[in-house]
Amino acid sequence: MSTPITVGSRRPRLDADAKVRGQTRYTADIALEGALAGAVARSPHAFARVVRVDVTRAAAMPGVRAIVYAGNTPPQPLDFGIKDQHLFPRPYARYAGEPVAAVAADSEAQARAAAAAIDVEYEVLEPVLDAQRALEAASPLVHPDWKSYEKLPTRVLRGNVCGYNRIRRGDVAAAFERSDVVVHASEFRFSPGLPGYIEPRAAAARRETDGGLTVWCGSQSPYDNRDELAKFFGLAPERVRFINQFVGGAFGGKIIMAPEWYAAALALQCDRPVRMAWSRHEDGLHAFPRHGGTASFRSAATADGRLVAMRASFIYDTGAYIGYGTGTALISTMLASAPYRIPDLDLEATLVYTNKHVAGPVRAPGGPQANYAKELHLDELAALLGLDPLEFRLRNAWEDGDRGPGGQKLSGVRVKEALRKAADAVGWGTPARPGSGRGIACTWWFSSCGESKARVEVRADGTILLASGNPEVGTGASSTALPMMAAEVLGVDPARITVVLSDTATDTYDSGVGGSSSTFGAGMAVAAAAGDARTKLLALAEDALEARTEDIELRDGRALVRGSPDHSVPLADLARKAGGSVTGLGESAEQDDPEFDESLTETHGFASWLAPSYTASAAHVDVDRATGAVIVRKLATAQDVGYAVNPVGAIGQIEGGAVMGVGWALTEALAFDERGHVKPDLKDYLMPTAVDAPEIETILIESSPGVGPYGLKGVGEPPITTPPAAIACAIRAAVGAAPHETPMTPERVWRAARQE
Amino acid sequence: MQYFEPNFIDEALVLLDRFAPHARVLAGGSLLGFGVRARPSEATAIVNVKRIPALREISFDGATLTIGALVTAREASGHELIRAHAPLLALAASGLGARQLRTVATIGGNLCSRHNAADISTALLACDARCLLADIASGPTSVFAVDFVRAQSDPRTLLTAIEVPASDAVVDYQKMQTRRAFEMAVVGAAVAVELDGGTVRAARVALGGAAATPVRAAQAESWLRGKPAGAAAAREAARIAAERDADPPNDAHASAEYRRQLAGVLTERALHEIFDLAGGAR
Amino acid sequence: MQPVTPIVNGTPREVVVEPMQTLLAVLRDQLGLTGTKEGCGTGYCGACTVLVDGQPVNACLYPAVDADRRDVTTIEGLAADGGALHPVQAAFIERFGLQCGYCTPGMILAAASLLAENPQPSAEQTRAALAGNICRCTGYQTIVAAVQDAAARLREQGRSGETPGTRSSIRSRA
Repeated sequence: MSTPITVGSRRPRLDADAKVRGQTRYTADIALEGALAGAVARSPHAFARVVRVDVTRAAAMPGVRAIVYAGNTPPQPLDFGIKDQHLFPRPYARYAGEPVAAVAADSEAQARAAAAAIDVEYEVLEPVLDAQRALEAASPLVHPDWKSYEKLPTRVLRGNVCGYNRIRRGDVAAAFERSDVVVHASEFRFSPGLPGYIEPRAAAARRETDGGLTVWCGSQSPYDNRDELAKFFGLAPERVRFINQFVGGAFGGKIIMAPEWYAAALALQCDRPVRMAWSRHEDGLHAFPRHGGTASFRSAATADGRLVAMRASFIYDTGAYIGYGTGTALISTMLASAPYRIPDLDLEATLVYTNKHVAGPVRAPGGPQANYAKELHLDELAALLGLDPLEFRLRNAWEDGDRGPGGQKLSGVRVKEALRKAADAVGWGTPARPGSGRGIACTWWFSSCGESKARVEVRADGTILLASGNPEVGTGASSTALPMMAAEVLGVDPARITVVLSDTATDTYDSGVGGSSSTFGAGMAVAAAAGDARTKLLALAEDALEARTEDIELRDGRALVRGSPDHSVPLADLARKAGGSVTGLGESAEQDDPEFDESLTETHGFASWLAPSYTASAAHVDVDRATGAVIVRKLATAQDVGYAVNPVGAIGQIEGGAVMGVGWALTEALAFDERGHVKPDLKDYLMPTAVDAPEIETILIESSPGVGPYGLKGVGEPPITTPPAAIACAIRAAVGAAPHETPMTPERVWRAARQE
Repeated sequence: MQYFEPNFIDEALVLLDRFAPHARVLAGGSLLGFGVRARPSEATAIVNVKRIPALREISFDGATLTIGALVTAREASGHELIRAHAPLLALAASGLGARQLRTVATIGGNLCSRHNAADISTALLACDARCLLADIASGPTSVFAVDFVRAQSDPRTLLTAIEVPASDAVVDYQKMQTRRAFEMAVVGAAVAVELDGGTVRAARVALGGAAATPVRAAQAESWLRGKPAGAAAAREAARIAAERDADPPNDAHASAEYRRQLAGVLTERALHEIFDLAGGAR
Repeated sequence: MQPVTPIVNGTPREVVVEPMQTLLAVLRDQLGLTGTKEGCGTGYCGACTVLVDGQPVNACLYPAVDADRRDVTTIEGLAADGGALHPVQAAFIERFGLQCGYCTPGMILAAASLLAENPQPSAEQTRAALAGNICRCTGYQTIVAAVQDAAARLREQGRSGETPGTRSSIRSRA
């Protein structure tokens, strides 16, 4: 393949002009004629049985057009692998904020007043608010009827435990007994966090005259949402259209439907559209936070710094329902010992129900948590051995031919390169002033190939249309990288391509943004669709130019005979010859996960990682011992991206992930009060400002191709997995100890430093 | 809900009295907005005082700087009279929230919020500021800011201005926040020291976030009188402020123990800055 | 109900508002100017930043009644008549200072107002001036670079100190 011209180049985003002018439409910006306003009535109790819902008073209030609740919506459970949840309580409301009913009215004020007037009789129950306590035998059950739940056979469900997996290799107990090893144990706690997208959730829905439904929203997975919604309401999927708008950030928090459900349920009961745009506060009442929980690590190494054994155990508070919580536990056990060579392993993770918000797959689920615990723990062990943390890591890091935790054979490993480059970027080894320190952390991550379809149309009027189901949530993957790929294949300027994203009417299914998958699966589909169009165009050009296909190339919007640039024809003319347009279709191809050893795992299901990437971050911090204030001076991340199709996009992910990591590490904590009520407002949930953000250096490693188009690997999640760990290790280097609880607020850092 | 835009202070006072206790003064609007939107039935009258020019005047008569209650944080941080005669206020105002808030937040509004770590309140306490109050029944009165922040708010009373006595004190404001910008202080120390050569003539130390309200560290101030300006005095004064003057709350933001630690550290750092500036550090 | 007439992007717009109605609600719902976004409704994210008499405010807290006869500049009013981007807008594109774009209108206006007051801000001053605008996507580094570039460009064009939005008298879409 010749050197790409478009792909791999640094070009501005194709959606940037509209965005800087304020012209981009997000869901709350859509004008919808005659729309009613929707409001949700929510349970004020963390745990309650809903005895009775009486909507009579509310229904009689001014402007009210529809009310939905358990009494007039389909009864079947939602299915996230365990059927433990309903659209409205049947009969339990399991977290403070869980929707109990929704109202559509002429104005928002009227809808809210009516929602407040819905008479709900609750039998208030004792909530379970702590995961550790939830595991005790005497704990009340969040799901008293758990035994009756249908579930996938691979899922573990037992009382308040709704997920469990284990990876084991060798004999950890025996290894800890060895006389030639140093053993170290540490415990950690992580606070739940928020995705923190700046655009609160919103949706609108309209019942169509033919009985169909149109939904406007900003979702990460509109096709899957459409299928789920259609099935639930008994509508044929092709009669339900999801028109996804630009999304103001998602980070895993906009995969599971929220306002979409209630807007749709209401719209199906009236003849006007229903709009629901949540405030930040309400968005937080419903949010899908990053898992909080605890971890304990115990590991052993020989005097010369070789790790021989590790035991790690995670307990995650997954909240009231399973949702998409499973990934956090699966990923944590795959991260706990990685990317190090450790012969004896015993790694487990448990998901526990509590009466709190449904934890979700926030950007790199388990990534910051597991890496923070593991890397800080290993630095403490290294200190016991008198070893430099970088040297300790280099001594134990994977190389080609080593086996991953699930036994898969590793190749294209770039751990050491990433470590060295990140370390260099922060001046590792140069003396640090008192109170200043450097830390380093590394990990691996998977790529995933989303299922995706695309269509490319080259038209006689000169326009080129690209339809993909992959939504644009901010990364630039769909708005920019995909047209770059199509442009590369067709030999056109990507700015000439009109991109239609994630409107289910284009019938270009995409499984959604998440799991570091967009450019992979959607990219494959787009490259295939463009390739299909290219093949057809070349065949038409053969006739038009009277040349052989192998002598024709596509360049600058034309088909031309190589070596005779005047002997050419515009693509638009070829389209005209074909009757108006040339259409190419493409889809992603399912990828085989690497072989692994299932006997090492127990109820795992994600123990083999496709086209893994390797990441290391190094941090340089100053710590004010007297106040515990931490200033991150510099954060460097070296990430193995395979191939950067859109380098600007890759760097953007890495810089954004670094600062998101600074926030998770130092200031962000989603707080619940003693009754289980969440405090989601931004005056309490502290995300980094421009002053908090450090200087960031990005090093792209492109020497280890993955299996995605052009050799790309997943890029979106690794950037947040290592910065918090690097910062924790740097704090430890600066003042002798780092807090074992996140966020590492100044008070916690002050206390940790005092103990040294 | 009724809405009024009086042009004179007396007009405003009549309205506050007529609609008491449900009249609300609209100044910058940052805080009032939440309250009213959350509990609309509790406010029957909004009295927008921003059409009263007298409330935004700034003047200095040689002995006293008078600052209208509607002077914004942005104005306070840049105004030459305030920088000259109430530099602590200018300092505190320049770090209040973020730029967007400083454009609209008023000195009066910040004081009336009665938040225990409000930057403006803490700074004004260390300026020996007085609050000028007016109500229809009793006419104008004045109370020390340190008492104003402790008192219950009276819905009939309008804070019209703040008076700061002229002083040749050297000042500094130290603030500790969780994030490095945009935050209310966890603890703040506003310090003003009058020096005779290398000796402290008088000191004013105000702490925010170290008690139920912003307070003056009276024992530390008393100890500092007559002491030589220097590192030892800074350290001891800070220790007294932390151990004896601070009475910090325990809450979700910070423990009492940590607040006490901050009270000491920030007081010491402020004194260090001041002594360095005046050339007295050893 | 109060009649007020803010001068929005150079054009007086008469509206009728409730006493505690915010400028944000008036801009978006009555004037159809949806470029200004609501991110938190409480003054803690800056997504709703607009300029009133050239100074940045959180429109979600700013009482609409106070905008009477004042100049209000929204993102729609920043580009010049004819559509030429303001240098800050152009720099955000060229330096990749945005991803999802939701914080961008507020961020650009905050930056433009900074440059009107301080034509040559340091990186540190830039960060401090933008501390009231939260971005979750970019990590701010490209934003700071964009503002520095825009500063240079404004100086080259002899536009240092120019109040943002004064090259526009675009009528808002309503």
